[in-house]
Amino acid sequence: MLVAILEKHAKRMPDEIGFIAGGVEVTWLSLHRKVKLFCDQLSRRRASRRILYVDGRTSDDLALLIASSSLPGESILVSSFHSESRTKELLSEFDGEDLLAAENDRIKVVGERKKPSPTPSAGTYVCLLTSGTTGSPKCVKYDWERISGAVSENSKYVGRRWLMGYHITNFAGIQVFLQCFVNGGCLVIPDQWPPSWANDVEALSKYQIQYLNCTATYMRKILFSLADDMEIPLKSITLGGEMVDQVLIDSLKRRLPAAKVNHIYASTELGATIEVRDEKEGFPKELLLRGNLRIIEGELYAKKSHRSMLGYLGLTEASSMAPESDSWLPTGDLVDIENDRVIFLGRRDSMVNVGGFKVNPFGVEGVIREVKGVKEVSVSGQKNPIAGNLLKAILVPCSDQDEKELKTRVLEHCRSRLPYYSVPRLFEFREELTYTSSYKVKRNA
Amino acid sequence: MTRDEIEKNVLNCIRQVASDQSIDLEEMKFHHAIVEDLGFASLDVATLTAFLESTFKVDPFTSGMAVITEIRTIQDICNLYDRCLNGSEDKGQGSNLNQSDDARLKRRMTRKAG
Repeated sequence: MLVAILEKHAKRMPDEIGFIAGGVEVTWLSLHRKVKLFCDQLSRRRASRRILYVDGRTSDDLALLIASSSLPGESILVSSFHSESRTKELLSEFDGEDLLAAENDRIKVVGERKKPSPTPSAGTYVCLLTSGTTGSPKCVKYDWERISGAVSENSKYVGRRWLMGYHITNFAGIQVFLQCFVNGGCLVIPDQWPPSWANDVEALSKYQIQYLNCTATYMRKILFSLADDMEIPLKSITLGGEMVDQVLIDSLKRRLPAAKVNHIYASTELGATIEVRDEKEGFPKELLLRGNLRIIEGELYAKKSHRSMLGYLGLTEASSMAPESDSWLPTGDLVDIENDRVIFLGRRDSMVNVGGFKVNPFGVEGVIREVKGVKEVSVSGQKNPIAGNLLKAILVPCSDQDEKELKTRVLEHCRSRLPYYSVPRLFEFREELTYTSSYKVKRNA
Repeated sequence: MTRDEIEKNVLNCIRQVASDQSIDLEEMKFHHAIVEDLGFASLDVATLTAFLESTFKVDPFTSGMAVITEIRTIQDICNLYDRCLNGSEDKGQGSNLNQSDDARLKRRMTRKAG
């Protein structure tokens, strides 16, 4: 599917730049040539299930990803921050045969696993690993039509510039890649992951980026790294992957008034479910009437759709590949209805029991972020023999802050806004928080 | 760690909790009870155990060396960590904190009156 789109772009605008990967400009024509070469090399491999090392930071990487969309069977995308030995384990865990990478115009076989009788596969699939914060990651299977389900095609996007604020092997990263690629836009992929804020801020201005898709955490980092007098031509910011609060939306509107701020509610398994364009936190209550979302005991449930995964790859494959059913799947997100909005409260598994009271750490983070001098904050529970858990706040202070004074201000502000059990008891100051591979704040770390 | 160092660290942890939680500590004596005399609420005691754990790098409550309900006074805490760290305990009171009981009695009276 992607190869045909690329061919169309290469014919219509051969010398236009489709990607700026790791600082190097890649034209549609040069990319198309490389993809043809790779399709030829890949056709000699007989594997029906393979792992591809893809970071998207070179034209070889991008060509491998695009060429894989014409290969029968499953292509599992893995970033190079998985070590070679770990990736070989994954190859065996997910019963794959080839471990492939691309460099210097060639497909490189990094590992091979012979199967006595490879099962031929009908169809072409793309598979992504979930972040797997606990235990082994799961592998989610899509076909290219499903995973492109949320792409909006419009000729106005031709030549427009996107900055990739996710890793390309994440569900959200693939969405940004597809949105830009299908429409013939130009995708700028930073050369470092985890991102370097100074570089990404520079990229926004240097490449005149109009569209930025990223997590709320990434966006806060960019906001703090923007010099006051820096002109950024952003037209649209789309946040995803994490809860978005009004404080962030309002700060973006103040600093970048020309940019529309949207947020997307999506998961790797269900795909994109809601897109909120009214620059308010949460989403309108009316969306609950559409029939694919409902609230059961305070938790948001969603139905699988034509944009959702086909199922998980692996042992339970047969059972999880069932087509869309009428069953409701819990999203793990706790919500509340306030006036006409459904407001996200936090993840069910992130709630902290403090002395018998359930505390939502996201709400506490929101209150702490209101305190001047706090650059970033993450709140989580720390096990305690008396209270069950105590709330711990990890603070990243702005550069000129005295930590002791800041802590006093945070405590005073929390006491004025929160019940006593929701006021953090333990504090730690750091220069950086810990993040997941998809650039969300990692709590308890 | 010597007994003196243990006592100093325990008192520092108590002062830290009191300062964070705006608890007024007029004076501390080793026989003062954390809850009744110093006025710590249960979350303050929980916070104190967390501070002690981070200071002494041992957690006698989770490891089963101590039951929290049996630890009432500052002295009890010092003895507990002495036992954990040195395998011994000094039942004697701290050197500079065994003066008058006035403040403690006053606090108890205030609590009763309240």
